[in-house]
Amino acid sequence: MPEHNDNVSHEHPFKEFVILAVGLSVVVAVIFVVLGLLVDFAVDKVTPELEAKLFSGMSFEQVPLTDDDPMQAQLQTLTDGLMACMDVGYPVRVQVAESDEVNAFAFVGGKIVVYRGLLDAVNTESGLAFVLAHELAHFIHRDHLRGMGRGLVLATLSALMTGADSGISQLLAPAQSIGMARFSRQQESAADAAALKALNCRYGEVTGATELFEVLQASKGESEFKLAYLLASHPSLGDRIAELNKLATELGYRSKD
Amino acid sequence: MAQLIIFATLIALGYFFGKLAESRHYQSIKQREAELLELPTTSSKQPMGEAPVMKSHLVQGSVVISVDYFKRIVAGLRSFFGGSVQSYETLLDRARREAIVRLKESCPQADQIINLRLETSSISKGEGNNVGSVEVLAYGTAIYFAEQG
Repeated sequence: MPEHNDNVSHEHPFKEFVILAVGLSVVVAVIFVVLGLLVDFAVDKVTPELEAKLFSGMSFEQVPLTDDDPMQAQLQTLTDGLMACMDVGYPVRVQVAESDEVNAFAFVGGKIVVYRGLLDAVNTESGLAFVLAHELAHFIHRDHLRGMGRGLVLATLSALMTGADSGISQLLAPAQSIGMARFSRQQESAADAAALKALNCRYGEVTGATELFEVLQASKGESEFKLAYLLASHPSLGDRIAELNKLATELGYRSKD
Repeated sequence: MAQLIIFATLIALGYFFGKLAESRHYQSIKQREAELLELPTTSSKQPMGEAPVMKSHLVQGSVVISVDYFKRIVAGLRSFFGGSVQSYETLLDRARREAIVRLKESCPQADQIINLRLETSSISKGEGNNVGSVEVLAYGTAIYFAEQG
């Protein structure tokens, strides 16, 4: 009987797994970093005119949008007024979505969607103006394009190489959201700061800038859930309020709050 | 995060239980191979030696062995980078040897086994290209020599 089995490798199987997994993680990390740089480079080359041409035809299917909401005209006027202080580069349309969620989105091509829930939660004009200015800031910083770019390229690469529902693609999906979440939080803080400045430019004061966050904070009891924000794409409400107040003081903005 | 934890648990389970099953199977194989060592087996088409043959018949042995989750993941990673898939090597080695051992066990009185052939097929679980389990069939001719004198 042969003592040594020549038909199998005698490396420890776990060692093989560790080496391959670490190798794959390194490759993915490198690709992610390079992709990030490439996306940033490409995004800077997409001028607002080009973006308007490419994307203004896209529509937002998930929640019913309405054009005859009574608030819509007011929102559009507010937005147009803010654009005097913020140069987006193309006309921006505002629409209301019929949903109780408190949220607002900026979409490629120049569309802002505000949820009815948010309109019900915020009572002052300047509070609304802050939200709109925040979304306009995303357009100016080209954040919406960046978010689309990285996620799309990584998902496509993974799907091309291993199949869309393979184990590897599923594995890459949560890792993607960790990296992208931190990217988005920086963008959110930058958008908050730009919105504060726009508010001051338009109204001469920044009353109402933190209204939305304070309303949300009161209703959610947010301090217990700090940990959830690690993977959430926004900084925590408390942090956002604190940052805005600090910035307002630094820049010498007046507020009645 | 929950996904990662589930994944890690499945891998750990696959690894430990797979390793356990594999080492027990190898023990059993080695022991039975030692017992059946006296039965010569070749792939030649002629019986070895000149003795007159009394009877001969077809014998076969087959086995189906399944892959565990750990092996599948490692093989998936390999398909990314290329190279020898160690995790499947032991699987197929066990299956081949088990099939041959079962073949020999099916004809304990035989004097020789000639014309040994092996066939391997994968029984996929329908999940694309993943191999769910592997079946090895060993077949040959058992030879019984006439009694001398």
